Amino acid sequence: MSVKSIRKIVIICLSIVIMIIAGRAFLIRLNQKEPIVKGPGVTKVAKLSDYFEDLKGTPGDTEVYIMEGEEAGGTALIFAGVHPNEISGVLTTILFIENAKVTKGRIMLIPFANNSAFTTGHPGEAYPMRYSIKTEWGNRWFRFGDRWTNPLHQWPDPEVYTHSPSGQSLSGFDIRNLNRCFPGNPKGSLTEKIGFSIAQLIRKENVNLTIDLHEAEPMYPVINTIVAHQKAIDIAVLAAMNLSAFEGIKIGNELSPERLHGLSHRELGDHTEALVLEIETCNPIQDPLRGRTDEALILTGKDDFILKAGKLGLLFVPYDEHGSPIDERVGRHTSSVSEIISMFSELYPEKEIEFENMPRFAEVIEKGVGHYLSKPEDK
Amino acid sequence: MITFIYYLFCAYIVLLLVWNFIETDSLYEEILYVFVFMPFVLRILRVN
Repeated sequence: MSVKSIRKIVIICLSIVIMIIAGRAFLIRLNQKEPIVKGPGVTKVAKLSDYFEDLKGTPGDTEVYIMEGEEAGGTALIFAGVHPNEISGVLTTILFIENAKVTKGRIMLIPFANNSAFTTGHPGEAYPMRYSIKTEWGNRWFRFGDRWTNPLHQWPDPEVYTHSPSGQSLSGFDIRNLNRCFPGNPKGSLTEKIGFSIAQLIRKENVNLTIDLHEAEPMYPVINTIVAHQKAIDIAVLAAMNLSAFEGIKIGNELSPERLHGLSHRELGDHTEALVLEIETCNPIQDPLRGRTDEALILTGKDDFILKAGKLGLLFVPYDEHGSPIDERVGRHTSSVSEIISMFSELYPEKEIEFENMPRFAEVIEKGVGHYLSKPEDK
Repeated sequence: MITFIYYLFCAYIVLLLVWNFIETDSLYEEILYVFVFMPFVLRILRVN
């Protein structure tokens, strides 16, 4: 056998080793889900496909955690993971699932709304696959995904995506962006079916209040704010006033634009009876201006390039060497959600929703997100 | 249908790259072809 043949065999063998190492990491990402601990308040766990059968067995199906109080009242739906690279909402819903107890009414929670998008990353963004939160008993890991449905599950993208039912033309790849696919299309793509399933859940369960949790980059103007459908703007304004006055949380208000289609606050507000709001916090890892993209940036939000941009007046949030730590982002969400539900209950006392044992901003800052995460059972 | 055609096309690219890998005498080109076909193989296996 010649030297060249041996060399080719060695190179092929090395490439097989590399493919096995990389492939194993990708397969873990495709198939392994972080464990969620059902807290004392969880009375039932359903599947999103229970509300639209076509979703069953697809990568878009996901768990719906239901917390029912002993006293009848209204129903709220809180969901996150519409964009799996926006993690504070995911952690907030998980904190609800693992800590809260509903005493009146019902709260339904979907932590991983676009389950498919948790199984992939975005080419060229160098996102970590996972991040860990330190707890008193060790580290707990969570997936870090992409803004768009995994192209392994939905492909190809059209050149132009025509939103249903508005007919508005959007970017082709946004057919995989769940927050452009509401209220959904039962005969559409996987992502449109996920949007339709969530809308069906709202209709079938008579959800009165819907809250969608997001994050945004510091250079984006819709940040640290509550975006509300016009039916829910009074709740949003009252909640923002109280958060500012009583907890020192500066948060804005935005009215959902009527001419931009596909977003949860617009479409679920128009096509269901629920009052719909979306809350945004600040997540520097989403900013294209960022430097090193790693787990530290996810958790601390500290970045020298974004700091420089802040000094040049290019950001829409106050930003300094303190960064945007995950404890603050989750704390903002827990307080905002709690306040929105409280204001809803005041304005609609016949649909009151009450819950307990949920930390607010100051407590999350003091004790950290990890303090409120339970230890999963060994599996 | 279009997805099936896409995977067939990926397989064809892999075959072309493997053929070029076998034929070439240049170490640089061997490494280059291997780097190029690795992601195609992972795509055909639907790993990424």
